[in-house]
Amino acid sequence: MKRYRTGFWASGLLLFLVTASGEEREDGYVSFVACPVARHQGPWRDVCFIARHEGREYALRNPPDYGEPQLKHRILVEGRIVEGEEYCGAQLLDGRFSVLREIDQNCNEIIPYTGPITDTPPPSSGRQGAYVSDDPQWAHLHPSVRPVMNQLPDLAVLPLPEGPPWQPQRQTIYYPFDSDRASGPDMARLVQLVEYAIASNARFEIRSYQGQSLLDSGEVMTERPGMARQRAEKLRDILIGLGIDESRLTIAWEPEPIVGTGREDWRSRRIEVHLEP
Amino acid sequence: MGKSYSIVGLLLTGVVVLAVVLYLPTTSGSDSRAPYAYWWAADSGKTLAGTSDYPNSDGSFRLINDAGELDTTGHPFFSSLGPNGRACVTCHQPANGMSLSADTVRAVWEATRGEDPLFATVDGANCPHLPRGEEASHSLLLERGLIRIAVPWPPKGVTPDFTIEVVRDPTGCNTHPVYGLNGENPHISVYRRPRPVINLRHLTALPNGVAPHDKFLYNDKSLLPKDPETGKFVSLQLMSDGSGLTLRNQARDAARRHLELTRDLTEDELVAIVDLEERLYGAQGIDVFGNDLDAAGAPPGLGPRVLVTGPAGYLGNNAINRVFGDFSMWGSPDAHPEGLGEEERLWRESVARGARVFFERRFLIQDVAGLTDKGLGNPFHRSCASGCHNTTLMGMDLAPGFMDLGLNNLPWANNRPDLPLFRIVCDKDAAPHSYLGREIYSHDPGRALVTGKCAHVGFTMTQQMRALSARAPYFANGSAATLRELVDFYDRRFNIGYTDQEKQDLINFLSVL
Ligand code: HEC
Repeated sequence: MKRYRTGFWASGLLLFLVTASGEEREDGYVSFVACPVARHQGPWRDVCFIARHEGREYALRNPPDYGEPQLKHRILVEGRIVEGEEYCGAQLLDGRFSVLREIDQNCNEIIPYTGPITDTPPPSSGRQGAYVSDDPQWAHLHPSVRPVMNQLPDLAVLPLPEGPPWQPQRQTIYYPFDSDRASGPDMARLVQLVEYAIASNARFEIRSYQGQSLLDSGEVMTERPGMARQRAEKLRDILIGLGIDESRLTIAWEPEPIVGTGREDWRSRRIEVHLEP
Repeated sequence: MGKSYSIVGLLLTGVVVLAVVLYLPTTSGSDSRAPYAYWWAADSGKTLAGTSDYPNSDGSFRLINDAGELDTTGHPFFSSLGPNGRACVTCHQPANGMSLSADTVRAVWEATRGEDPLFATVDGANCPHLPRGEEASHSLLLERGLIRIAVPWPPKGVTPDFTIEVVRDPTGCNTHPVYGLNGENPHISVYRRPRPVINLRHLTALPNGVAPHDKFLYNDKSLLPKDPETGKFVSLQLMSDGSGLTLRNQARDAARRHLELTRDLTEDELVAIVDLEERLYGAQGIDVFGNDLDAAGAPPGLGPRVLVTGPAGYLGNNAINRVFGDFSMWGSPDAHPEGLGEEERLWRESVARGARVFFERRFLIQDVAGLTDKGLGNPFHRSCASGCHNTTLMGMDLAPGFMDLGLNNLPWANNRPDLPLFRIVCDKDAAPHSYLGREIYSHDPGRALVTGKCAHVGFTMTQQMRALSARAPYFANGSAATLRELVDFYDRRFNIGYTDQEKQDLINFLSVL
């Protein structure tokens, strides 16, 4: 049963990108839907996730809080092969995993722990990163109830200038497939822009898009109609809730999906934020 | 100073040790000492001391009123403002950690033959149409300490994205022509435990140091709601479904619901209630060996005193901040004071081990909608503390932790033939529940009764973990009669495989919070 809107998009480009089935693409990109597989990394670490495609195992590191894979759901994998780098015991991809919305009970595999995987670095930031390892090696540190959480690195966002001359600012927020949930770090950045906009009496412009993903199989996945609008309206509500006057806000959305190319189609699912002081 | 606990401790130890099995000293929560003796009736005119201790089977619960001694005569929290004779204190009892234990309910039933206003049929019976005074009419309150919460359906201003039907109705309330779902004024009745009215300063603080989650819900990255009176963001930690918003809001609502007050609380009444609520702190104050948990030498995160002074709203899931602090003074053999008895030594070490199990022992947290689907990954390999119970000194989830732990929805819920069962079907375009899909069987749709979202069916808010020994049974629907049952639920739900020793250590640890 197809749980998402699909279509076929046959074209010269497609034939060029995809070689005979069962073989890897030659341009170094992959785009596919599969069950995520969790890999147990021993008693003191988080699990990591891989996905299998055309006989190879791939791993992706999503940006912090973009949304880790979930068993019981398939994932859309859109990435570029990072030659020579492994993560979670698999070929590392640079790109995005998106968790698909409907349940798939077939996605339920956990690879048991057999020994440490040395290629997996700890998560770097985001709330997950703030979960400093509870590995016993840290147990001797600061045995105190005194909260010093604010000495830990916050969600890292670059500081903006605090006074004139005010400069235009831009932010691009990327979304998982069929989702209007932005990541924590992206929202932390947005909060900064709001402060900047209020200080500089700037105008906010947001332009929202939705996308298609061309899979290696030739199949096309199209986001649900109305996603661009849904994202835009959610962001508008957030901006107003954070104190931006509606009259200083322009929102627009592109109802037609950006056509998939099979290369980093995740970039289509975005909102561009533009601040003009 | 460092050994001030030991004098009291040793005196009491002899008494206690006789009665308990070696380092299994807790019966977790069942109140063995005539709970009616501590019953605080509405309009009693008693004085609330600045600090008061109330015995329970694990030692004593200690309540601090930071404003000092209070003559409660005429104070709106302690007075029957409405026609049914109840006050706030009726369900928020000092001896029960400002919640209400099922033992206390039964003692009050016995002592008053069911006449106490607690048993008012509006929500102290399984349904208002049932005959007052018959045990069967009040079975959920008597057996599980549950209060009926009638939620108007659909909620005001919300178009739900699911349909709901009653599958099983053991209380008769959801199918009742007046009170039920198909009545003229449709309501859904669910049954929930009173939550403790202590340490609320910690509960209402916005999270620190986890930007942007001082403004955003973790789950879907929408904004937190705002206090309608001040326009400020609220922590969304009040009530199991987050419907409280603010203490003022909550008090107004409680007065109408539980006290059947037909007018609004006056400004003076509101101020008096909220002022008290913000100054009440509570935790287990004395452990089963008589150790004063506020005294130097005890683990510094225990006892209510640290809650009075401690900063609110910090993340305690890391090596620098541990939710309930350091237990090494009880855990390492060379830290024990000289002359400490063998049983007490074993007890202290068990508590300290329990704290470690809570903090460090990871397991696969799987299929918890609201948690593993909010970006963290499914499964999420974490411990109790680093998974969910991460707010310093309190133990609830710092970023509003609505989730479906499995207590409300089938198939994970404990067998509860006493509770109503609803069948929920998500609309075609609605986002489904992340792990149960589009058709869900639930005893309490929880947060979904507020948001109208199918994806939220069964979500409840993690609650603070203080004063557990004073307020069994546990979980919002009272599913765990004892701390053992609570630990067993997690063990079964997540297939953790705790050893018996680990379970007992955890129970002992929980009993001193
Ligand atoms: C008949 C019993 C009853 C009475 C009387 C009662 N409450 Fe409650 N209270 C409850 C229940 C049950 C809950 C939890 C409801 C839920 O989780 O949805 C609760 C929750 C609360 C909470 C939220 C605490 C938390 O941690 O989330 C506060 C605060 C509170 N009540 C204050 C009051 C005040 C003030 C009054 C008097 C105006 C009052 N209550 C009267 C039963 C009662």
